[in-house]
Amino acid sequence: MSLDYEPRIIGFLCNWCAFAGADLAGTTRTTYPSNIRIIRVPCSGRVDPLLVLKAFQQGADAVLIAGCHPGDCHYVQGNYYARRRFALLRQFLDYLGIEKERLRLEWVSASEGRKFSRLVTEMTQEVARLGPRKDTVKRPARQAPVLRPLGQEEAAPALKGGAAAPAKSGGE
Amino acid sequence: MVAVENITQLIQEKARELLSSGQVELVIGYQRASDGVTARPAFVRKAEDAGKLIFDQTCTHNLGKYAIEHRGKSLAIVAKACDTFGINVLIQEKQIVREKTYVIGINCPGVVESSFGETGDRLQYRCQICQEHAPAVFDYIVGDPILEKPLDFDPYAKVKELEALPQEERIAFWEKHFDRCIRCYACRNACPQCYCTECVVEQIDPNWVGAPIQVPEKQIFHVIRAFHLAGRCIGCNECERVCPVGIPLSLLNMKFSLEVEQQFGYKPGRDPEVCAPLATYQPDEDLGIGG
Amino acid sequence: MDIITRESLKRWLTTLMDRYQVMAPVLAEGNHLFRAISSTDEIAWDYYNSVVPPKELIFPLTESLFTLEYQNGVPQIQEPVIDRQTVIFGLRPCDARAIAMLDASFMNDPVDVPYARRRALVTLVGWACVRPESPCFCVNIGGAPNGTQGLDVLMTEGTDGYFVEPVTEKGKAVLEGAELKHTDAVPPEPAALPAFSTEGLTERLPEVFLSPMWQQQVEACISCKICTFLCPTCYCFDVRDRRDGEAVERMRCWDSCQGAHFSKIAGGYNPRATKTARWKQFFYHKYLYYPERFGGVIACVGCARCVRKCPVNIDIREVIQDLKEDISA
Repeated sequence: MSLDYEPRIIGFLCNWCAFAGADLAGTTRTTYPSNIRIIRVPCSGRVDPLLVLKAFQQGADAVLIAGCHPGDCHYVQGNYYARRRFALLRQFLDYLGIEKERLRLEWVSASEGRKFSRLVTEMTQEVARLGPRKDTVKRPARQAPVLRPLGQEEAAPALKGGAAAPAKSGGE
Repeated sequence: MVAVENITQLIQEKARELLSSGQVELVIGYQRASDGVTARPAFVRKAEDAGKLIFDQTCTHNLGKYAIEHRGKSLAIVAKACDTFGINVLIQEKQIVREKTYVIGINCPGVVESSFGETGDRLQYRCQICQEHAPAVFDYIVGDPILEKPLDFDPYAKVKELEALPQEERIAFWEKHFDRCIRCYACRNACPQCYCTECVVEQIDPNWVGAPIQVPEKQIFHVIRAFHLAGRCIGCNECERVCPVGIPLSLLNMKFSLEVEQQFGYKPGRDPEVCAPLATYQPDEDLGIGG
Repeated sequence: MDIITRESLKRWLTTLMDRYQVMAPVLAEGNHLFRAISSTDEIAWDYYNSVVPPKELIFPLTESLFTLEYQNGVPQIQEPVIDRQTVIFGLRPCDARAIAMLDASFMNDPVDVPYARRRALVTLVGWACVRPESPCFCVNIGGAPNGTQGLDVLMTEGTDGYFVEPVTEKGKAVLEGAELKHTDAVPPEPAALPAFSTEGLTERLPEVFLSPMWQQQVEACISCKICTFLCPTCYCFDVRDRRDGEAVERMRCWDSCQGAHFSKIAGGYNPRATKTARWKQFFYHKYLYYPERFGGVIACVGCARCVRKCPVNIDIREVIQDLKEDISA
């Protein structure tokens, strides 16, 4: 495992529980790795699989969705739908080559600051162990292509004699 | 091939009856294609044109999507058993009105593999694994009931085989196939369950997927389409048939069907009263996720 | 005429690979497609025609036009270098004729720079169709299974090897080093295709624009993009910017008038909101608008990819037949 590899984790945290829990981790000075980038959403049920896929396309090494515990969802049922959705998506992404460990759904209440920091620490270590992504959903880094500054070349060549549409009929 | 001439005759008679009585204004069925051997969708509005309707084992198309297109009209639709599961899903999702849709259900002997100008005796894979040849919804039923024979192999064998491959091989497998994809959207457009008037994949604002026809974008398109069909795909496999470059799309949709069946014991379109799994929940279920 | 054996042909191609990128038809998971080859073993010698036409080698599915990046506060715009000499080997006369049609559109003023750059670097070495099959209809639309329009070299398979006919100076140049032998034999005549005439069609099209026949013919259409993407003379594209960190990349990719939202304009109005209107556009572009603009040439080469691959069997030959009946009525 290379020391240069710092996994980037995108976290979708629900406003009412998980985000508050992360906040609590911060205010009580409980440390957790800065590999995670947090996005606040109203509810874990709002997290569309497209958001997760977009994160993976843009190069996220792992995605965490954290919401209220089942039964405690601020919107009553959002997290139940999230649970079903991501149970399916996780299996499917694994099938395509994005390991199960890269997509996690966790329940973090507003008072569980320490749980949040332990969770992120453990997830960062696990994803670092997995190494960089090997699948092809990830958009490759913009190739250092052979480029030249615009306009620094002779005008585009035209076909000799100008381009004409082929003759109307006849084989030759 | 199995002889199905009497089905053709019965469909034609029923169509004539429905059109001349004015009970329906449009019959959606099958007719002979321009190659003389395969079939294509037919739209009959006058009783005297009912003679062009046919049914045989080349009638592979899932006509459900035309029912959505002609929503609001009183219409009749010819539907094989698998097609009727799709119709049930559309009824459940309020895309078609049951009362205005007269379903001519077919006890279907299975559809053969075919392409332009070519057909034969080999059943399509989805028919080889079919255990439900009887329509789930119908107003009129034709064809002899088919005796269901238990399979001597696992219908999900190909999916499980792919699952069992090591990660690098699985990645290479999908990359090899998605490389050929040209994002023609034939798979999406052939699917009756893909009826969004503006598909998320073509949205510019927000630009979820991106226009470039490159492997990452193509993978996201296929993954999200398969996900949107989870619990809704009835396995007609038209998506795979219409793909001009032969991408094994059934391996995507069947993976979700397998998961949905295993986790929720659900098969779409069999019973329109049962709610689709992603539209509901159980408070205390353990799905192996969420800690 | 000159003739070359299959073995000599392979040797010549192998030496070409030192100087050129050689693109040839290969079999990819059961599909014939043009791909860059590194060995002549990869060539599908018995192919009929490719699923995706060779236009994708000059007008790619997706290409980067330029990249804009701020370096030390100064915007730098850079474009990809296109400088690889390429030989497209084994394309059919219909596809070569189609490339000539694309040339007329892209290379006349104002010149499409990326297309022009690629085009100048490409040499087209084609194979005649000795056994053309229906639904192909090139002969009915101004083409021929052994036509040389648009090609630099035409090769025709005979019993003892391939007859080689250089068509342009570029063709003569690329053949240097090939072991050609003179023969008095002549290339075999291609088998005949069923005949039907398209004469008078272009002239009548403006009058039949509102005919109810269109709606009947196109009723099964599912508005996918197969016909346009597989068509060798279609060339619509979309240009999009993609942000990548601090840089922006402008890309262009294939687009199709068959897409439901293709003609949508600001405000949400869509002039071609129905599939009938869209499919008419596909037909009219080839049979009326392009001929009007480019000297009467119909922008359809009769390759019949749209016929073979349409999921619901919309058959352009049937439409032509119907129109002719309409015309004579």
